[in-house]
Amino acid sequence: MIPFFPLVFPLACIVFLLAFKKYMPNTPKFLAFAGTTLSLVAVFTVQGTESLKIFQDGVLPTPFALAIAVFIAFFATLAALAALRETKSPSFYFNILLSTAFALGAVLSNNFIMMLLFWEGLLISLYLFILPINAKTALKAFLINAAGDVVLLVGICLFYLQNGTLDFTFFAKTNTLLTSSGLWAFILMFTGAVAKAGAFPFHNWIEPAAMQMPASFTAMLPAAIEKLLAVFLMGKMFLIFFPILPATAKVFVCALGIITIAVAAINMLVFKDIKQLLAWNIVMQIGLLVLGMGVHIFDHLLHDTLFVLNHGIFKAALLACAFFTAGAFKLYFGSTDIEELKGTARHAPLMTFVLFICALGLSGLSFVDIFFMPSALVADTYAAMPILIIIPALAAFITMFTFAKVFFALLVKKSRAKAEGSHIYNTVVFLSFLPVLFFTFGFEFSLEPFLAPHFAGINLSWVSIFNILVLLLALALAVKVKLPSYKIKHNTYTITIEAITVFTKWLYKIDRFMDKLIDTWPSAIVKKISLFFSRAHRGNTPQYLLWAILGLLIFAALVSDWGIK
Amino acid sequence: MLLNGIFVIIPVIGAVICAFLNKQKQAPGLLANIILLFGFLISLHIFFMSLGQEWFFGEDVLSAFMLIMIYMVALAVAFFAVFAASTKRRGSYFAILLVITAGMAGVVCSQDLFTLYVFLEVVAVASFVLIAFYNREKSTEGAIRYFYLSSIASAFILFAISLLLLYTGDTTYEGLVKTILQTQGNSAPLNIILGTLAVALMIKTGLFPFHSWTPDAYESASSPISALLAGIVTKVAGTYALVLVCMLLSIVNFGIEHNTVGKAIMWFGLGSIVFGALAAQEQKDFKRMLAYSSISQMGYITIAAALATPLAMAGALFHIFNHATFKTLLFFCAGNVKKATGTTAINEMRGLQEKMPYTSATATIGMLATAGLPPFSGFWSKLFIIAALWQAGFIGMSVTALFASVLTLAYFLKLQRGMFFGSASKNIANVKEQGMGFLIPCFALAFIIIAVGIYFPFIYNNFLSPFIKVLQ
Amino acid sequence: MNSLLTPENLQFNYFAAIMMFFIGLYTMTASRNLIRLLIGLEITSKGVMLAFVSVGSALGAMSFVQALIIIMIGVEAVVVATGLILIIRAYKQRGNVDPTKLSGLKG
Repeated sequence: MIPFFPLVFPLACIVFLLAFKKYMPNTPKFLAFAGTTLSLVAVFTVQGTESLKIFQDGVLPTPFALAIAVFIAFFATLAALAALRETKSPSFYFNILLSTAFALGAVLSNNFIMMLLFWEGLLISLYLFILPINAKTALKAFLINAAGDVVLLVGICLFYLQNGTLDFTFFAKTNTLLTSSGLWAFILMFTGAVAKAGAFPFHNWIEPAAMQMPASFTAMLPAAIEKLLAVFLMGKMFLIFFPILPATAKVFVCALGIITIAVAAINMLVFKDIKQLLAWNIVMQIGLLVLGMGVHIFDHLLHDTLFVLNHGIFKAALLACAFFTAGAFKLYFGSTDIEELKGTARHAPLMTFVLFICALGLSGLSFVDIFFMPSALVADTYAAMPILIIIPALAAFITMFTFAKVFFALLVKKSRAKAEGSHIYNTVVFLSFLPVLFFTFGFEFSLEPFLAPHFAGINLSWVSIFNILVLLLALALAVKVKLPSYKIKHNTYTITIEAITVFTKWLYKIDRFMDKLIDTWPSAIVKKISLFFSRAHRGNTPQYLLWAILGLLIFAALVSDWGIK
Repeated sequence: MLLNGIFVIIPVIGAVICAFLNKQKQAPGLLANIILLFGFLISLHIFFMSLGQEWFFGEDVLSAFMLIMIYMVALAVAFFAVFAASTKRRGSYFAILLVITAGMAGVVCSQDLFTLYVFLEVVAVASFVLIAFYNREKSTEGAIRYFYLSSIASAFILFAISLLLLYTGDTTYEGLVKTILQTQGNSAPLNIILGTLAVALMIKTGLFPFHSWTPDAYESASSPISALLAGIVTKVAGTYALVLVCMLLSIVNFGIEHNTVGKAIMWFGLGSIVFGALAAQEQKDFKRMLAYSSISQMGYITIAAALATPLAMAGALFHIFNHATFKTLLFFCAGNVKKATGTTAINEMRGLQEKMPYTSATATIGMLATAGLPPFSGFWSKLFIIAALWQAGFIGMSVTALFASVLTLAYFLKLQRGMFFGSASKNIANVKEQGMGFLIPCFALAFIIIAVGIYFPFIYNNFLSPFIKVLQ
Repeated sequence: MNSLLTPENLQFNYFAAIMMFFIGLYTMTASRNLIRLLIGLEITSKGVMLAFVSVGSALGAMSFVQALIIIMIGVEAVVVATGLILIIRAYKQRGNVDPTKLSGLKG
């Protein structure tokens, strides 16, 4: 039970909250804040195994897991801090504590059963979060996440059957490639792991949830904590499946990543609202991560672990920071719609700047990121299959393009009233910006000696230049599209734009169709079947007796082997 | 047998005494509760004593385990009924309650198929009376439907017994086991006997397509009686005997290849799982929805029992225990809601959470446990069942059962939104939470669900793995 | 005990028993009166008892089977009594004993 020590604090705070919420109306806020902060402190006291190799498992959680746990607790603290400014119903704080407890439990556990327990517990807290705002979205989020968890569960069962153990200390000892059931275990576990973060086809709930929920929720749960959990599980999977994956696994992972990126890109192009844009960014980031894994998967453990850690922590920090900024915009200017936010840059220059840095980081500008990871992604993609380089380039392009639209709206010279409200909210934005800064400039220097020999094989300069070129191109295109006074001369340009519009419209329709396929149609079918059954029971006793006799005949038929293959 | 006979005789004596106390208000309830409490404690004692012993039908760990469950649920129902039963004839009420407990104890303690039949009839007649206790039209209809279907089932059981008599010469379980061991392999007469027995027990359990009495009987009975029926009577009368049949089937065909009867039972179990989950989606009445959910859960138990690998058997028995706790809890909450608001229609009373917080909390625990969410106990038993199905090679069935789990969650969430959470409707202005008497059984059962769920590793090590090893 | 029935000769008896069983079941499904439903149930039970008696006679274990049958008759009497009570109550509540009209519980 030692690893679960940080869980004590959120759980104790939950008990206090339930007991005392009637007596002191302000208590829940502070309890939530206290619970998350204390758990952050407590995580530092849990010692990992004493070894430099960050992927050696033991009874206590590894430094890898601890790093993720630190950031989970950190983001939860930020969410509680942000929520201190607004009074919400006590159940909101209850849910923050519950989510923290479950997420920490999942990361700190040392075998799959406990991890699954906590993983599925997050379903409940997610549902309870969204429920007061919009029950339908809550149900949708819950069902989609539940489906992902089911896939994970099946994968873990297969893994258990294959290997006979559910402990995290298991290493794949053989060098032979996985057999088909092992391959299925990997595929299912991988899909289940990234399902929480929003990979295809489990991505449809993020946008409505992000739009309807307050910023602190979205910054905490889908953007940060769930990504971190996905990263954690993928890290675990390295140890287990390294290095025995056949090529089909890599193809599958790449395909998943590409489809996710495509879906996210299409939806990002039709945004009207900053929160919508950021929500689809969440999906795109996980798509990039998956693609990165698929391209150079499991060939070098340190590389992959660092890649995953970076992506998880850094991108999660960026997204959380961006969401908090959007929340700040909403708090001061009343909405996050682009149309209404025109001209706010002059009143909130700091927030605009923060958003800009987040945009750069999300698009993958190399210098804004530690370990030069986006460059590594592009380089690896090129190394694996040169034509694939178009995908991360396109992702970066579209991200920058859409963000540029946002900035041009913000920067438009339009007079508006000064913002109201206190500027203390900015502290949250800065606190969340801390990891970004830290990672960008601080960490980079300390790890340079470790990284340099590894990156020797990759020529970073051309990749970085390529990245910057792509981003500049995006900016240029955004400028062209945005400012109406610029005369559009080229015919090909307009035709391309129209073609792209048609193309994106069709892809958008396909995505909505997929949404219908997964969400609307099954529920309609289930409802029809259920009504049919309901009407079949008309209260007619002899009819029921006839059913029983029919059942008897079917049973007799089955028993006598007639009809059974 | 003598020791187990006590569990049958003492409630009967208590019933006779209660029947004479018809006009008293407090005495019958008190007497019934005391007897059942003692029975519960003694059955716990016997269970822990018999944990290491040999496997022997009729007087062994399984019987002790079922006795614990019977007395636990009966005690909870008797306690609830002291407060919830609004009848003047309390003596008769509690007398028949004790009789039905005695009948169920007899079912699980019997070592003979004919004794099983007799006690099944006792349970059936007592349950008809209990369903139709209040003079309502719907209750009479539910009771009549149950009466006819149950009697057909009893006729089938008798038929099977007569065939058995012809085939082996006696009706005891040992004789049956000896015969099965002698005729290694699928002998047709044995299949017919066990098949007929299985059909009868499937009717009594309420599996699809023999389920038609289940929703009507559960909906029309009063709440403590519905809880009793769903919580233990259907299980003991139907599922326990089905588990026995499946154990008998599996003595020979253990993991080698499955008997056709076993496979047929599995198909019916799967059909019930899917049917129950689908049909419960659009129900408008709380109790009816719970009834369809029961059909689904019975399907889970049956499919695991018919599979008959050690893991599956452990899962089936554990699920029987879990289902007893959560269905009883849910029916108690339905009773609370009915008493407080006068109706059990789902969308009429919304937002009950503010007025009846304890009922909503325990109902939510029960629903989440039924759906199989961690960390409640239902998660572990469902996991066992699905894992056992997968391990034995029935991948399609396993996946279907898993998806039915998601459907279960869906309708329960709908129920929660329509009844407890969600925006409060205007009708609930005068609703008050029920008194402690109604709530104590709910709390106790919820506590058991949570405790079993959290302490599962402990339970697994102490109870389930030895069980699995014994079966192997 | 001399008897014409041996375990091999039981086909005719069993055939009759099964016929009675299914005639009873048919009566149960096709009757418009609850009392006839009950009578159908009785026919089913009697078919089963016929099966029992023939088995006992064939095996020569008539005393054992007689004991079983007496218990069965006793149990059946209780069951029929309960069924009749329910039918009477249904009649008092509704005024008819038509099973197809007994349809308050739907869905």
